[in-house]
Amino acid sequence: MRDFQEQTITKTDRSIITRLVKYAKPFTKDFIISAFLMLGDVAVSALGPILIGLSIQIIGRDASISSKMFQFTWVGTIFLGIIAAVSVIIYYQNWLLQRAGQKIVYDIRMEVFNHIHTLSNNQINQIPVGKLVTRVTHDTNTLSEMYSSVIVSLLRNSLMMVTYFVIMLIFDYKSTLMMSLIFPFVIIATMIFRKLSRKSYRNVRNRVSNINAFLSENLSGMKLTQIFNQEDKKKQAFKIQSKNLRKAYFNELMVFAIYRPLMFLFSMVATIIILYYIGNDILSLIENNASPTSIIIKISLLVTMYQYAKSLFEPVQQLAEQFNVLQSALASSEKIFDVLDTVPEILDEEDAIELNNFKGEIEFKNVWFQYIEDEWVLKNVSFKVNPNDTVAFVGATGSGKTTIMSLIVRNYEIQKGQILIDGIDIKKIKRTSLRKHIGQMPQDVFLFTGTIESNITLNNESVSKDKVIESATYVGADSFIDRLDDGYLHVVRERGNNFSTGQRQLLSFARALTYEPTVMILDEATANIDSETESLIQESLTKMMQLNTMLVVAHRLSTIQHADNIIVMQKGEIKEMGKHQDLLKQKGLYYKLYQLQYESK
Amino acid sequence: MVFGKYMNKYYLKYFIPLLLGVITLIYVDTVQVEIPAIISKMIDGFDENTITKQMFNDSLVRLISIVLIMVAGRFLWRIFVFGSARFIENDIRVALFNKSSELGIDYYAKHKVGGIMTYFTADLDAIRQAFGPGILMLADSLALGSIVVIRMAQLSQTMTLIAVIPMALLGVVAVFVLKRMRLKYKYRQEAFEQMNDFTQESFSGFSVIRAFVREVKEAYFFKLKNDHFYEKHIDFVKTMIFVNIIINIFINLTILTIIVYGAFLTLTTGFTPGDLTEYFTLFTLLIWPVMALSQFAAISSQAQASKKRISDFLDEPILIKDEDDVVEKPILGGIQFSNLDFAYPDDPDNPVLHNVSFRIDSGEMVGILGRTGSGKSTLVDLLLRLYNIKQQALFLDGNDIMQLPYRHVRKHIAYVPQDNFLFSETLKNNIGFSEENISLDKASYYAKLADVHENIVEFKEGYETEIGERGVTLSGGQKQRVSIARALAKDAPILILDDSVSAVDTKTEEAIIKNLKKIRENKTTIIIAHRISTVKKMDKIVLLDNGHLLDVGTHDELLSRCELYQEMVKKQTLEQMVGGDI
Repeated sequence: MRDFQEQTITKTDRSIITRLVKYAKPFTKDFIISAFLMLGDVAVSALGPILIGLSIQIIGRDASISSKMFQFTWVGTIFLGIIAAVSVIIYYQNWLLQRAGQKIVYDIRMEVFNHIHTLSNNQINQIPVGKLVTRVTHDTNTLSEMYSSVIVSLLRNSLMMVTYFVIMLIFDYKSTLMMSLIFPFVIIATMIFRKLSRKSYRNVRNRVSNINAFLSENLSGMKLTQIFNQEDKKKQAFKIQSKNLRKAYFNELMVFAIYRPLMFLFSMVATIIILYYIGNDILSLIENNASPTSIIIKISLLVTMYQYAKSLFEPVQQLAEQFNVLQSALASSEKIFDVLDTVPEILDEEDAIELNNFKGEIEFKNVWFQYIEDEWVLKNVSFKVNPNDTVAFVGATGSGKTTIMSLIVRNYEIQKGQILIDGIDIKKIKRTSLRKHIGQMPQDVFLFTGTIESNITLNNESVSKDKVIESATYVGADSFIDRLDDGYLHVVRERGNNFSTGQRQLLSFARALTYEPTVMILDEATANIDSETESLIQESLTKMMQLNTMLVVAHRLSTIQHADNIIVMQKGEIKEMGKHQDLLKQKGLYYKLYQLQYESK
Repeated sequence: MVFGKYMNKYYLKYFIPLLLGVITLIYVDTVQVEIPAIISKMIDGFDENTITKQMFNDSLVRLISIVLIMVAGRFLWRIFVFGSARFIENDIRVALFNKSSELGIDYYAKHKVGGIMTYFTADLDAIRQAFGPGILMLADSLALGSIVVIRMAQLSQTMTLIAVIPMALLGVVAVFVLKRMRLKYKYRQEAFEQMNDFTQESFSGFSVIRAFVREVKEAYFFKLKNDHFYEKHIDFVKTMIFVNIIINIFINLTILTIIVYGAFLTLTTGFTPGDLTEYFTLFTLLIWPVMALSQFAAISSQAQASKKRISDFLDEPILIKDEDDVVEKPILGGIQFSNLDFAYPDDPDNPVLHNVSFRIDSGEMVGILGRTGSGKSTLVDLLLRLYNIKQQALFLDGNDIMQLPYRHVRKHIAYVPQDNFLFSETLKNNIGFSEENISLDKASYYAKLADVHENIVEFKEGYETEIGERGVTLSGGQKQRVSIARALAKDAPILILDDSVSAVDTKTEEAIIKNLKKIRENKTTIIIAHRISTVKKMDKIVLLDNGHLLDVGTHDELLSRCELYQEMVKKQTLEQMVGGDI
């Protein structure tokens, strides 16, 4: 059995990112525009410190109070204008990025969904439905974090840091350069943090999944634990697991508890360096009896630089903490790409043909088939069905009847032999073309949520309402549909659980008839059906058998007494073949089946 | 913060670290506001030329010491508050599991494992957040908020009124816009659920889609769901961006007010440029408490809902309990059912066993036979005391089962379940499930008896091989034999095989039964089956139908006098012939 996960070893972070970037390519323009607009956003946050410095300068100027107030009002108006303009820019820019991110994820989601529908039955059946769904919905969602939040934060924070640093350099390069001496420490600390936080994050994830696996297993197996009196042992085992998880969380907490104050320490060291250098400048100005204006200018510089230094390392910290989001986004992308990299097992041959004017002749020539290596389900099966004939397959469970049905529509590839339709090997026919001509009525009828009508038409708008009613009436489903207040628009709930097995079977008949197939395949339900519906089903089956070629897997022998040919199977082999009366006379397997059904009741 | 019957004790248990955490937090808040004050003094000193080199250096030293205190303090409160929250989370998690170990199978029959798991994951996390970030946010916003506002008021009362009003307004507005945002988020979630449900159905019914060649249409319908989700998500994002902008505008407007009005104050009153700088810095400190308070409200309301769910779970009544007067009495393997009636507790009007009376003598090998729904598995559940029954209906060696401690009863019964459930542990631990650290010799002894030893030694790690997701996958037959070895290793006076051999072919079945006969000599063994071949050679066959006891006897006795039994024999023989097994 192969699951998607087995291929994961080959994927590196780098290869995943390269692929993710490829998806972002069509949106390059959006990303570039938002990066530009972001400058505006960053500029506004850089404006505050300059303004406060400017205010101190204005206060210190030699001018009348009213002219100073006039200047302040000017500054205020400009500030207000900028805020208004920038708010619009921020809104637009954020929206642009989020939209691009969502569109990328939207495309990926479509691709995953459609890809899964191209996989073979075998491939899909091997994976729990829940897992498939998670790939399409949850994993793509996690991935969207990557495009919207990680990229936004990466761009914004890098821009912010560079802008702050450049402004500081312009304002006072000496103190700024001295301050830069702590950059290596910040970088090293952040790198160590990244490494440790990644490790602790993984540790936490591992232990969380361990404890969840433990819980789901032990809650399911609680009966056994109680019967074996092992509650205390399990409690103890859980206590240890839980404690391990607590330790892992504590570890993670520790990493953050050290890193965050440390970054605060660095930013304060930067602040103190700035204060020290500019402060000393001011002191020497005072000592040298410099003009009050030049002193005021220096003081306002000090105020501005102090505000910048304080917040210079905030972006670094934010970036470092985004790292775990990136990690989980990468993990999800890996799972998504594993699905996309799974090659469908059954594909049409290049020269496959479209099937027109199909007569309805089917032939199995020495067919051998197995689901699992060395466990043959069909052994050398040969038979021929003539157009318009009805052929029934009978035998014990596991004899291979249902398998024959799914081979005709090429849900699986046979290992040996040939299946011919109108004399053409089905491998040479397009699968969609094959399935269009063959109406399938499986044993477990699957109904979709919607209405009775949508289940008969399968949301095909080209099917008229008349056609729906016609098919339903033909198979006798109208008898119960007409009894419903809203008739064909009656709601079908999840998996059709508001309908009985028999009713579902009838709807399945109507569904198949609507598509006017040349061959019909029916796998009769084994479940008990109330006698009223049962007789309806029998009646409509008899009618349908006259329509065209029909293959039936029969569980009720009464259904098939008039079949043109009855094939009796046992352990993957054909044991008997013939008409009802002839087979009964043989007193062989069929006779025993008959006895089983009628005598031991 | 969250309070309640099952929560309050943790405030007491972790009182010291929580208190230390809150104290450190408040202390850090107090020294924190000193930084703007020091810098303010420095600026005024420069401005008025009153500062000396010495004073300047002293201020820097003071600054450094405050920073060091803050660094240590911030580290400590994180450990104290968040650490306690993790400890509390751990305690509640263990309490939850202990509770789940005590709940009987009646509870598990009604509740899905996935649902119970939510208590351990989402709900527990909500509670943890209320204890950790919740306490932090409440304490920090109250402490820092009031310290900052008081200090701001000391600097200028009028300006504080002007600056605090927009912030208070922001708090109020935040409550409303956040509510709107949550609503948009709810729509987004609904759209997501719809897409999820559609995908679920599409993949479950893929064979129909394929059979009728509807793949293209299906992709189109998925596109509609995807579109819808995209729209709702973008809608939510727009609101989110809008909220951020509103907050930004409020903050910037307030900053503007502070600068203009502050400048006016400096020009007209004794408000110094240093005061202005300090005031500005203090204001930026105020933003966090305001945001934290509204976040605190969200965390608290979430925790309330989760607390209720968790408390309800912990309050679930426990069905199986010992009465006060139970006494441990020897159990040797004699079983007596006398006029036993039983209905499941959640469906008392539908009895599944009616007036069942029969006896099994110690050392007998007995088959219990019946069709699906005949009540044979229920009979075993009662024997294992998984349900309560009325007094004087079931006796073990003459003692009423209800008068015996239930763990004492289970200690004397070994059990092979129908599904042969094994735990994801080593094979050795699975076989030795009923004891601590079974020896390798003992494990392999029972593995040999169950005929699985050969398979086990073929694995690279032998008895230390892990099974399940992380290890090897066993075949159905292997699982069954390990499951039998596990029951044999318990070496109990009573062994029950609950329909566990029906999945194997008749030849293997015969071998297993032959083995069991040898191993279990003089010990009671009960085999539940629906195949005649399984029970044919037993000392006694108990035939149940529809909750009634039809007959008890040997194969030959039943064959000669019981109509249902005769029919079953005939039908099953035919079935075997048709299937090719004979």
